[in-house]
Amino acid sequence: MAQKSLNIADNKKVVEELVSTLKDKVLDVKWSGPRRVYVKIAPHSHREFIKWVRDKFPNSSYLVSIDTVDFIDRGEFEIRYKMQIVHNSIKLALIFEMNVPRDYPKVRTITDIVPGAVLYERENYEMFGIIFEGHPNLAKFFLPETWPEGVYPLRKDVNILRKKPKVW
Amino acid sequence: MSSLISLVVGPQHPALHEPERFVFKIEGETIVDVEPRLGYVHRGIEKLMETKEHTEAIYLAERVCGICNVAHTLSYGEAVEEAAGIEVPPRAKYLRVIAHELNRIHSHLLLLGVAAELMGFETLFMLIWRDREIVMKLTEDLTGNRVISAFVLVGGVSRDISPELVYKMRKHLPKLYERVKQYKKMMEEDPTFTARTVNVGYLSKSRMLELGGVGPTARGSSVRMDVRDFDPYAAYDEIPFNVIVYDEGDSWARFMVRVDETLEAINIILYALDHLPQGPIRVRPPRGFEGEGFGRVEAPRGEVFHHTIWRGESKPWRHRIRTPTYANIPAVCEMFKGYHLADAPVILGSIDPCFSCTDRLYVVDVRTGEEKVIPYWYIRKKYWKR
Repeated sequence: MAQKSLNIADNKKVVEELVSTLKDKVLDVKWSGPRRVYVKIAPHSHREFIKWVRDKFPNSSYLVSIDTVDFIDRGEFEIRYKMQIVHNSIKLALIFEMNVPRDYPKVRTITDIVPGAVLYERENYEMFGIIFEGHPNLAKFFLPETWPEGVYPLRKDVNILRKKPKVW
Repeated sequence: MSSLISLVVGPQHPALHEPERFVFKIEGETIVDVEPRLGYVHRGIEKLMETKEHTEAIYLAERVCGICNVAHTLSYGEAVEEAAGIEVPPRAKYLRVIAHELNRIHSHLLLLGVAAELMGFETLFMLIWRDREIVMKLTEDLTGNRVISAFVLVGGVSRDISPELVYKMRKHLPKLYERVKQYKKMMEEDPTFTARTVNVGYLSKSRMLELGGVGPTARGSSVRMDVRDFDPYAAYDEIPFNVIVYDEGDSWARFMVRVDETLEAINIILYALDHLPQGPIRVRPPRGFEGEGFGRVEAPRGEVFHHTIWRGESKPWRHRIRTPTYANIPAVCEMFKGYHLADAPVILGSIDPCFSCTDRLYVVDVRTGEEKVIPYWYIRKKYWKR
């Protein structure tokens, strides 16, 4: 069927082009199936990658999500920027993984490139305490106003699920 | 001198799920800006997922959203199966498609009914909800429950389909198809419906992509993106269907995408029933494993994904869920701008979230910049003296 045409060579070509353009910033490329690729990128280079995708496919790419994984044993966060490209026979999910030190979690915002990133960055700020420099309004979004400062609930060292002793 | 009034809408609303609060900045009747605030039903599910094994967590996953519960369990199942390296039997894949599409029909008909009610067209609301009952009964026969179905499990599905039910579906779904076609004609021609929706809440394609809108909201602005098409899961790589795209970019287009998707979903179910393979419906999943899985599913409201990371324990290291309404919030905030306050329910309804009532007034004095929150009890005390 025409709508499900997938050319794996086209997908590979996009990734090769990306790697050759920004080759000193790419640390590792890992394919997970023909439609998904995990690209490990150098710290603070995420803006260049997202800009490259958005400039190359302005009418056929979007930011799916930004999320963070807390690798407390390695002492760093891993921020993941997920992009999707659907352009003719190119159907590719790009996942950019970037390490950020756990004791100094500061990265630059991408809201000037992708305005839709506004809520994702706010969520990562309040759940993990990652500071996005240049974000227009880095305020609480999900957590209540009375939430204590400096407690980031999705970090691994925060234990908010402690069972309360029964009172009866 | 222009006076900008901030009107707080929300967070309580009886009709739909998900309470949200919007602060509309209005000038006269026109909306100038809008500030959303979510989190009133934030239950910490992502953190809770890290403490659950997948046998328990699949029931937690479907409680993320009651209406598109099959999408969430399916997405969770796909993610865990990818991480554990499980291959699902073909019959289970087709049964997943059937449950998922029944879920889509019920969700779309629910929204179309609510949208008709928001516009004051109550007859259409009651007609649509009457026909939605057909799908609810079929869902109950297939899964055992009307809404929260607990149908998809890691490694397969929980129940098999009986030949009687196949016969029943083949009998009732074409009837529903005819009814929905009639509603489509109604929505295309009816002056009440078109007057409230055509050219209301316009958003262009490029702006939609910048803001990251998903699902029928994006497809109403001629963004040709459907997870079933570009990243097929379950049995969608074997089932033919059309991606519904409208070019108008207004609220009307977003509703019409849903009507057409309902028709398409009925076709998908009938095709899946005809091509249902034989065999087992479930394989046994392992308990602890190492790996990473990314389950993407086209829920009725747009793309849902569950991303799970397992590091050899019986519980995941990190589980991330992204829901479609969350992705559509920046887009809907853009849609409001420049339209009348009376259009706000329709625009908000067109992305299929919930609409909330006014809880309190929030007055901004533009000259001094002083903000003052007046709670509801104060107004009642001051103005509604007995």
